[in-house]
Amino acid sequence: MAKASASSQGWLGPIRAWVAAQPLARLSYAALLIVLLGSAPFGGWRSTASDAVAQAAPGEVLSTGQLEITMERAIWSTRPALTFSANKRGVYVLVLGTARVVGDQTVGFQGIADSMRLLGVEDLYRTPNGTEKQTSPADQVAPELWYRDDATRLGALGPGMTYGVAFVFERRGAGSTLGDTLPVTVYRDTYRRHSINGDMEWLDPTPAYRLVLPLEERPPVSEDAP
Amino acid sequence: MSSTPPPLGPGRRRRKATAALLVVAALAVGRVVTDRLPGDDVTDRPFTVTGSLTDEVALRTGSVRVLELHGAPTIDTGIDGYRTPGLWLTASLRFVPSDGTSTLSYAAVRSRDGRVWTADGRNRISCPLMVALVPSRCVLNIEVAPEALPGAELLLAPLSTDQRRDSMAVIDLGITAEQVTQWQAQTQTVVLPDVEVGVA
Repeated sequence: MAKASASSQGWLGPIRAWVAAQPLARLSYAALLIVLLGSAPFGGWRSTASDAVAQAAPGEVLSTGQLEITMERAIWSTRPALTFSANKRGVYVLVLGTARVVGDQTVGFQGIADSMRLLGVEDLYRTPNGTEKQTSPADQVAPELWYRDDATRLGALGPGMTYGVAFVFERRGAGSTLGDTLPVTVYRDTYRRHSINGDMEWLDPTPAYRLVLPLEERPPVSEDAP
Repeated sequence: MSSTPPPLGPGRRRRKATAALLVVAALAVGRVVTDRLPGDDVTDRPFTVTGSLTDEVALRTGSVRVLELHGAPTIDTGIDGYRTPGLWLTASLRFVPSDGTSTLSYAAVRSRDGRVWTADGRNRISCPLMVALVPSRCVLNIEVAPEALPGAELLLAPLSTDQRRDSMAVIDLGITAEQVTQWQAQTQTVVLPDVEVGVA
């Protein structure tokens, strides 16, 4: 009878017996090893992209995913152009460079807003949700993008054109002073399917590059200037 | 009193194997069918209505016709003056809502190679929300890479936020390379006309 039972279990019999004889810890390690080996054909062993933040130099072309941007220098002023209102309670901080769309579609407000932050700079000012402005942590303060040739605000960028731009921040409070350099962090988005609406979108802005730009003061422009 | 389950007979084993094979086959067929069904990019496409520069194009919400088309390196909107690293394309349009209150709030220029410049930011379409059968003049300005303008099309739709499964006018602007060269050389600023209600 015993012989008949063993043959009915076939080749699984010895394996079952061996598994039953093993301690639980060893079985756990074996299961983990099997999962690891089994994941190999599906990319489980593929190396992932490094999430380290790279050090970049002024003027270097940096990719945010949707945009290619360069940043050359920074200025601060209470009124950098006539199209700005004179700032009596703080200063405007402008990062000067270029921006160009990588793909074939217009990049809107969010793609611009996600592109960079001034991490490490205090007392940056913003308008959260359309309410009154308030100072906020630097990682929450998005820039406005202005076109330098006519000093007007760009709410979107179309493909195929390189814009000379200023990433504009406002800073208030006299608690700290600006030095002669400005730390800038450039973010990169990931193109993936949105988990709620199912659309392919640029999401998850993550710090990708860090650079330090020379910063200098600019005297305010005057209505009376020639 | 442990009891060993009775061994499977050859018939029962065959039935189990057949069932497993049928499940796998059903899954494979399902996968093949879903792979061949059109995706969202096809099923959500707007219903396009094509026309040329002089045509009256009928949309779900009304009809539209291009009245004027210009290009220039600088424009004056009446509020701001804009330059561009490309070329400003400006147009005035006649829009007549057909049934109920309507407007045009989506505009874009699409090049032959599929690039799209949308009315977003300082690129704008200004069109009054108007009751049925009352014509209005809408105005648009979009900055475009100059080399993309020959053969470009103007896209117009009722809603700026969502064009899926809605009607969309696709108007061949008939722009030539010579025209683009002339527009690039233009030194005079193009002043955008005002939005008007009741235009003929």
